[in-house]
Amino acid sequence: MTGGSVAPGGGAAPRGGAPAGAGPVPGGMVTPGGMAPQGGASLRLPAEHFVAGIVFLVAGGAGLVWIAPELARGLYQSPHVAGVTHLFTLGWLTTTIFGALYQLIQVALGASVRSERLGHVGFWFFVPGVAVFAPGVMTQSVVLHHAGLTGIGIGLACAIVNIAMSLKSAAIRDVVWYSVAVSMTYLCTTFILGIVLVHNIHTGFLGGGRVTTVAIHLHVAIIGWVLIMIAGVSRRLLPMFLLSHTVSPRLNAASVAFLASGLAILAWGLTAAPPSVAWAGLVLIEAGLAAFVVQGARNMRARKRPGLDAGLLHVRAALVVFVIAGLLAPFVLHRGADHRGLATIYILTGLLGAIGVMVMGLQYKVVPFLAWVARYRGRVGRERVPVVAQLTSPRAGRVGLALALGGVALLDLGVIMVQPLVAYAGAALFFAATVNFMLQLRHAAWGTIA
Amino acid sequence: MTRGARKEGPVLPTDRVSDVLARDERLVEVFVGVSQHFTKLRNAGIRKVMARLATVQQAAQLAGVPLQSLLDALNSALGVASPAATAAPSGDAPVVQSASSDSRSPGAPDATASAGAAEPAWIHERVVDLDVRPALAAGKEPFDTIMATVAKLKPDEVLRLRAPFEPAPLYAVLGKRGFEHHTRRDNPDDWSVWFRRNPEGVAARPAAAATAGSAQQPGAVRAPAAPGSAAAYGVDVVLDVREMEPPEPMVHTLEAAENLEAGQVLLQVNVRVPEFLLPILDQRGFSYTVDRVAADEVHVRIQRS
Repeated sequence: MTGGSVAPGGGAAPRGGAPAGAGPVPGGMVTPGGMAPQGGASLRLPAEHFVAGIVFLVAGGAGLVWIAPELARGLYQSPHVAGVTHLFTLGWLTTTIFGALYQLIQVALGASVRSERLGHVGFWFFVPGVAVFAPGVMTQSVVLHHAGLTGIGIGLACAIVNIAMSLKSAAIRDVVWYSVAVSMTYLCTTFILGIVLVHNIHTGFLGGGRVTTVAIHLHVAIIGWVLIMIAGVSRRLLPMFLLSHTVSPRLNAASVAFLASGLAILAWGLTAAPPSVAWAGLVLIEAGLAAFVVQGARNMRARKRPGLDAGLLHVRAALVVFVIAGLLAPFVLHRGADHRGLATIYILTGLLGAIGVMVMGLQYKVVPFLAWVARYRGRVGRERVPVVAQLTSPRAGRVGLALALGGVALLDLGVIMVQPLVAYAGAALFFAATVNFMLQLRHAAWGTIA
Repeated sequence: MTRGARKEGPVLPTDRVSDVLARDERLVEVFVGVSQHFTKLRNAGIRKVMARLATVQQAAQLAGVPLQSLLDALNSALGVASPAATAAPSGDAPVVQSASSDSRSPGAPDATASAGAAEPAWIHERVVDLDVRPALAAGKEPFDTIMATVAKLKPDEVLRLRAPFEPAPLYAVLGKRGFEHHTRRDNPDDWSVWFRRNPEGVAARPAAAATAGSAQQPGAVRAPAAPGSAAAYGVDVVLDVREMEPPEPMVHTLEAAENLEAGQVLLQVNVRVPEFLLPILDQRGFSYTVDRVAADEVHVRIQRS
């Protein structure tokens, strides 16, 4: 009895119409609905995305030091802060997610990447686009704005079309599939809102509605694009890493549903509806966040091995910081733009402390694994090869986590105290965390393993 | 209902009785209508045990009725067209026959079952008795108790199981664990089955132990050549990697695969399709089939091309 991939009679049916029970044949045959891509997936496409993403992460870390004084004064809307924020959001998070998706849709959804070439084309438009756009935001240069947005737009279009067509052929349509589809939709929305905001810089047509538009743009990006994606794909990733396959995934689905609906209602409430609608949206978002955190905690509790490696320590820490960010959200909604410091703390905690640390943790699991496959797959089973854990330093991983969390904490403290020096210290720590992270992954990919 | 079980369409020979009954509990009476042998299905405990383990084909064999008659009756009750009965190959379904020759048809007279059939001497040696008739009469499922008792058996002990019906599905379940059996029916509702570990199931494969690479592969389980188990899976080595974190499944599977002899088959039991492993198998000249048997269970059979 199967999910449809076994021919009546119980035998494994090979692909290509061979009679059931014919037995395995050279080259490998797969049951109808089976998911092995002939020839396997290229690692180059995700690898180039991860490399570029990490470069942007370190650049963002350096930029954080530069904007620390402005952060301490709660000037989260300054062009400098906006530019550095886009290094993190567009440069690191979005590039990394695209790279991960090019692997995940095959592993988790049984879909082949529609076009590797389109993936590379999209990459080579998107990455230079971000590299031009972020400085353009910092300097408010019209030329860089337009050039950057053009590159970003073409890159996004290539990636979205590529992934959407890959999703269409997916053998599995579960919460992972839907979370990818929903988050890609919110990514499009984010880009449109971004164009609106850039246009407003030149024309001022939003007037007093600019702050609200920035808030919506930020939440659509962070929650709609990134968090929904993480909540959905963690359905596969956490049980795989934690060996917690017995945990029911129902909360993953609930999380995605609440986040997606809550975000839309929040955006509506902030723009064209009574405040109570925005609060209703926030309640749903909080419910979605709670479901995500509880699901993650359940997976942690049900894990087969007691110890946690650096990646999973990051994930666990991020779950805690998500709770903190969730607790701040109602106060931010209540105070609105009046309390700049509160809003700045909320963004730092949510973006860097929760999302940032979570993505670092997941990258700690995925990137060394892919590096290991690339380096040793020809030798596995024939000779002794290093284990994945040897590709990174556990101690450096824990130090990096402490640097990242300490950095965010000091940044928040600097904002509370309106003390640039404290904010500088926090930014320096976070920058050190990004450098440490880059060195770890560099060693996994190219370092000499004892 | 088992994961992956169909809720619509015709009843097939390979459908489990429990899945058929899950579609409509009233189908119990359809079974009974075909053969009085199925009155036991009215008992909740028996239904839990037998129905879960036995397929429609096995049920027909147990009751001694034509498979097509049973299929026609069930599908007619469900209002669907009945397919022509194509019995599952013996290699794909658990073997229903007992290792000894005296227990096939419930309709056979007692004298045939218990007299004249040569009983092996081992059924009298170090016997551990387990009578599940009271539990079943009380509507309880004894499967866990049976398996717990089996787990505690010493290598030279023999389990004598008494049940109100022939526990044919247990032959395959325990067969996969290396047990042979002898069955005797004393009365229509008093069956004794003796199970013991088949010494030949271990001794028959000394080459497998030597050629499967490092002796202590985590999760590696030797699939002994006990009656029924080899036919059920058709493998020489079973590697359950569901408790391993990537890339350990790939490492252990490739190590085991590299030590396969020509004609030997390795079965990897995984939670997901091993996307990174399959291209490597292709490159190294192995052939394989991938079979998703449940939502979170995938079987990959590997052998040298």
